[in-house]
Amino acid sequence: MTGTQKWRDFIWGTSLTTISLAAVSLGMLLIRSHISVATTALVLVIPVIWGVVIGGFLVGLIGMTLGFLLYDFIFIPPYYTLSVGESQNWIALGVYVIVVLIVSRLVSNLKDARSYAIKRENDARKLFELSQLLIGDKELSALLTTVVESVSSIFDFDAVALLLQDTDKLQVVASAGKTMTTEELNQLIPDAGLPASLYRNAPAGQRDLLSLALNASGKPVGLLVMQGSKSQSPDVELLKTFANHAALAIDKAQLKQQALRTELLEETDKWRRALLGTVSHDLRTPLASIKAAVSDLRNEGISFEPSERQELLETIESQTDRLTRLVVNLLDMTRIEAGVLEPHRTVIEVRELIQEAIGSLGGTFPSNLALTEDIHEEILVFADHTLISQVIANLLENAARYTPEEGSITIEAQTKDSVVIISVNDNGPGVPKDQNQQVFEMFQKDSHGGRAGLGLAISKAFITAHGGTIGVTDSPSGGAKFYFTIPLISIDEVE
Amino acid sequence: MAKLLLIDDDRSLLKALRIGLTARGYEIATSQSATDGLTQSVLFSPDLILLDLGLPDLDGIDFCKRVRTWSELPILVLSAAGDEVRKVAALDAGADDYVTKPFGMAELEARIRVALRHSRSADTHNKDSKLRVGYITIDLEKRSVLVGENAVELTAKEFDLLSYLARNSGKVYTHHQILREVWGQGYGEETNYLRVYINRLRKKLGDPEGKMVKTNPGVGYQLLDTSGDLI
Repeated sequence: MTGTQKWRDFIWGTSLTTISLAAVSLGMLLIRSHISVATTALVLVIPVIWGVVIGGFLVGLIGMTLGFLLYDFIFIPPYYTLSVGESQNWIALGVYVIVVLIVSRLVSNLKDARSYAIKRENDARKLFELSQLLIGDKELSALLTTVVESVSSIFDFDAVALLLQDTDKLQVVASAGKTMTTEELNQLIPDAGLPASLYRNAPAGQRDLLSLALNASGKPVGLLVMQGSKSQSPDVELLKTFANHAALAIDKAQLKQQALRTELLEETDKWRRALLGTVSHDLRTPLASIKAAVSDLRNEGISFEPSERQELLETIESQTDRLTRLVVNLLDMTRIEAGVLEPHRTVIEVRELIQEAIGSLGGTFPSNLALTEDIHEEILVFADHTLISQVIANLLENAARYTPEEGSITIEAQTKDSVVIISVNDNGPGVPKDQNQQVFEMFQKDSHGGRAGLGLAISKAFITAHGGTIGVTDSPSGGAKFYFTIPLISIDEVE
Repeated sequence: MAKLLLIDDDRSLLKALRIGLTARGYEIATSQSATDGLTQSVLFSPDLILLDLGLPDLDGIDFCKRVRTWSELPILVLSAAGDEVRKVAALDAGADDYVTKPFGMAELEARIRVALRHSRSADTHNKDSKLRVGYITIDLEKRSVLVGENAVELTAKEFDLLSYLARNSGKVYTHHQILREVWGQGYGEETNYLRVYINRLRKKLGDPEGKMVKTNPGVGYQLLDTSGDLI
């Protein structure tokens, strides 16, 4: 119980006792001739006991004195004097004092025991509530906020701050209530190498500052600083118990965060290595052809037929186109991943997208492959035409790579519900079922077997950025059918 | 002229190689998958296979193993830089040599010639107990070695090492292969031993620069016929 509460109870108890003594005396005064002196004493005990119940033993003493005087003054003859008269009246007064004293003592002891029990119960409940707040997988920052806010509200402080070790200094990581000044905090932060006090820390001039060191598994975790308690004596024991719980929870959350960070780093590192591997493979493939062709053409010792020379030059040109497309693809993808590039959507017709894709393939597309377009209607989409035509080009290039010479590739587009499905069918070897998802991954367990490559992974990134899906299934013609969906245009979007 | 089978899933590289190697007088067959490559290696009966490691249907390493079950014909691996592990695995699986992409045609042709030469010398070795690689003559029965006309004293290990490399001159043997074959089954990772022995061997053979006993960094060693080179 706080000091103000006690004081309020005292005033309240004293007033009640005084008023009720006055009322009871007045009432009995009217029928004084009909009641005995002993009965009057018994009735006058009641208001005093009432006061004790409310205000404690001290109220009892005041009430007893007041009762004694009223009893003597009004009810013991000679009336309206303090003289006692007959000696048996002294006995009545003595009994009154003794009874009131004993009963007051007993009642006030009971009252103290009861309020102590209530306090213990409250403490236990508070601690339970606080501990509940700390359990569960909270993120570190959320946990820190919970700690300071619960300390501030439950222990009634003006300001609470939590300081954690950051490299070699303690830094405020969470606070509740009013902000503490730097000077105030500096006074509490121990110099490096000095132990922080676990107990009340009251630097000169800052008497209301309280700091608690948080320790978990034998190592310091941080410092909890509180200021401006509204109660006379904050419950330090309870606070310390809570601080221990908080320290354990913070330590656990920190460890978990560290583990997560390590995992993320490993994942990023793996991804980066895989990207590097795929990029270098995909870039080196066209380079190998270019280098072989150029080194041949430069060799004066070998005479090529004009048609062969032409073929080598064509190879160089088409592979240069392929490299250029890869680099553009790669740059766009990096920008999308970094969040710099947002698809720049315009209304565009699907056939136009396909034309643009075929155009960008240039010499990369083998002339002996038959390419058929199977599109029966005019379909409008709301998409970034550069990115989507790159996706189509990537799928066509992939199909061309795996279709046998003199094979055929069909490109189809059809609407279904609110999307358009664009698919590229080839009659190559197809993709094994278990690799249907893997082919779009930047890295795979096996670098052989399958059609993985940068093109497909990049296509997936572009389609995802458009809110569509990409996949592969068996083509009716026996090869693979790579398809993707993009949402159809809706009138709202255009307006 | 020699017949070469090119196996690579990249059409444009096949085209460039076919034109370049045909112009150099080789007879060429091409294949875009390992399955087709295996068929061709029987039907076309090439003198040498140029094999890309990243084939869509079968790993290049498995391809080498399969070919080695019935043939000793030389396999030259086309590998990408950064793919050291698989390159070494392919050599362990029976490939003879490797070229790293991108490569110039002159380098490729040089490798092809070495591989073809060693396969022919391997054919003749079977007829007597003497191995000849360039200036070096190894008498397997007497366990003696001549460099030119001069006898060279080798320890038993050095002799085993040299004769193992000479059995397939031009072939790149991986550290692992040499250690297991010359030192025994329990060995394989002790490349330091190998470096010391190779160093001693070069000194005794009068090959301090390692022109005959050539180092393939990170991979292994090969014994080259340098008699045609101008030293």
